[in-house]
Amino acid sequence: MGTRLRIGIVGCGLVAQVMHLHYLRELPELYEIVALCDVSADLRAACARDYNISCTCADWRDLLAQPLDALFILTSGSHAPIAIAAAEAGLHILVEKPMCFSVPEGQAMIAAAERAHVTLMVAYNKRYDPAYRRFAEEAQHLQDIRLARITTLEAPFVPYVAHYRLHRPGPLPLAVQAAFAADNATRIAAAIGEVDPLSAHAYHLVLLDSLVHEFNAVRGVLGEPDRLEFADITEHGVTAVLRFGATQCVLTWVDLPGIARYAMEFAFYAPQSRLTVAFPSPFLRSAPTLLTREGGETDTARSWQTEEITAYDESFRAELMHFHDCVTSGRAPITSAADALHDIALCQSVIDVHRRRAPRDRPSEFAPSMTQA
Amino acid sequence: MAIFKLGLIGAGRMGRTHLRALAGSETVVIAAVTEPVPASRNDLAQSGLVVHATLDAMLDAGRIDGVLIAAPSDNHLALVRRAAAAGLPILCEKPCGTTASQAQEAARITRAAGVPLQIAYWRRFVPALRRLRQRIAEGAFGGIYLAACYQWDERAPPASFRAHSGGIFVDMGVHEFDQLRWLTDQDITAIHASAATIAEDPHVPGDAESAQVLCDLSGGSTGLVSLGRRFPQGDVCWAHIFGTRDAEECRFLWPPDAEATFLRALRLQAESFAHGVGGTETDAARAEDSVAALVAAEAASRILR
Repeated sequence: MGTRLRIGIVGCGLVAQVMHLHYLRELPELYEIVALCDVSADLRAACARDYNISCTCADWRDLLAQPLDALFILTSGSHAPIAIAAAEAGLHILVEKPMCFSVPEGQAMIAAAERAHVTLMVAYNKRYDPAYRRFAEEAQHLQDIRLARITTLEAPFVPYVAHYRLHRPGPLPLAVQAAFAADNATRIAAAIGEVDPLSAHAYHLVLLDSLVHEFNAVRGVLGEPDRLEFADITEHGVTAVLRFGATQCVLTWVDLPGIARYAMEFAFYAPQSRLTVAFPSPFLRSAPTLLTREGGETDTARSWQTEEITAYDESFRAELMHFHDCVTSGRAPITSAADALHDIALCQSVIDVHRRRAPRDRPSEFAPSMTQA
Repeated sequence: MAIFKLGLIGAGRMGRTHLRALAGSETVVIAAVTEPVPASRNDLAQSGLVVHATLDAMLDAGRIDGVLIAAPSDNHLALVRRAAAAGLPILCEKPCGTTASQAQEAARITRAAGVPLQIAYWRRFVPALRRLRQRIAEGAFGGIYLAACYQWDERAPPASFRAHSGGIFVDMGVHEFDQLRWLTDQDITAIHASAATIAEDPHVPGDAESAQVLCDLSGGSTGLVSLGRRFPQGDVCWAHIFGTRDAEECRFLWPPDAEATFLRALRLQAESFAHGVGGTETDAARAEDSVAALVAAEAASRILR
């Protein structure tokens, strides 16, 4: 294999257009985009024009016949069927989050990738953000982290992408919409059972769609949680309390669809110092993530705060460089599928704890109840 | 080509209509019939037909080139499965199951078995509608603002039938949803539905006496599906195309010729099925089309629920 990877893209939606296609084109020495796939004919034609790609198709199965080294799976819905087929075709795989809808699906993906000796990486861009990497380093020096506070204020995304030249899909045939909805519902029921509509909605569109980022990022610093003490799902948000050793971690995600003030903060509080990393909207290219430190002198009034811009490197671009490195060197990705599957387990545990109103030990581990399909 | 021998499954009202329709065909013959009701079997045997009590018996007897499923809709899937296992091409009455997921399953089974499955959306074989479709495809109407498809029956079927028919959209509307997609070569992307509360017959839960559906279509046109269970002039179907350059009303099923039109379309449909099995490309409805029609019917039913 040459060092330039031939890429096929499945799913030409928002994240593909804003980030992946854009940065693939910025890395021509590493990547060649060979083929695009999308269920919307309008969308794939428009993207193919923009990126000068001659090979397009509506069905991802047709992509597997192309001369590719790797497949990027950027669709909505579970990525398991496409990823397994891609592995069987000998392709390396980058899947957008969430990697899948349940632990057994993820285990099947990992097994397929292992059998085929291909890289299977999950696109958790925040792990490749320079400020996050500084945050993770600095956090190792904090003594006695008593509170980890994770706060996400979800905001309307349109104001964050309106300045890009984006193509929208035409409306999909009702039967295609229905098939996607039915597939999602079947997979969600397989993961968490026939639960109340609010839990099913939150599992799909809050936990899998968004909170996997927070889970993955906090696990990247603190490791696996010992216990999920509490979880509560409401119409507008999710609150969870996790324990990592002596550290209590309070996670709050709230949907605020009014003003364009997206925020995602990870704040660690220790007696001597405090450390916060604040992410901008994930749709803003190269908007810097801010790292804030607070310190002071014990028993005096003196205290201080510094705010650091670590770099303007885009995390999505760094992620692509890491994927290339893993594929060509055979190294395991930082955000491997094996690592990411613990986030899916945590999502399932949040539903369980919310519904039972009782805590759960080792919530990111694969409990027998999760692996029974 | 040699005459194509069909095995008819179910000789109820629709099955007998197929028998009448195919009586004059030089391409297709109903060579055997499966009918579970003994009295009906006797009647059929007296008219010289080879009759069987079960599908298995008909398949064991052999000597058929394909099956025509005209049994009640809730048996469609099981019959498709059995015929596919026997490797026989299938012409199945619409809607091929009672739900979109059943039609989907029928598609999967026949695809896996490598067996042709055609769904009996007979509008596709009405010559007047085929001409209308041709004119749309040629651009005679320019851009299509509105494609309206009407089906109004002279009177409602018995309440006992209506209670189990799946409701007006599954029972009647699937024809118009399929016709709309086929005529315009556009897919249905969204649905808006409304039903009048005016009714002549006693109310049947889940089955309106009339209902109107507006459809957004993938090419930017609007579709109207207009259904009614009472029309004093008789059973009627018509389509009306409103385009930027022309408009046309097509009363393709209208008294006093409605019955003859219907029977002729059924014959042409069965003959097209035989040609399709023989390898000729046809624009007959496939299982995927039935899924699309049922998805639309189910979406409309949900709105009115």
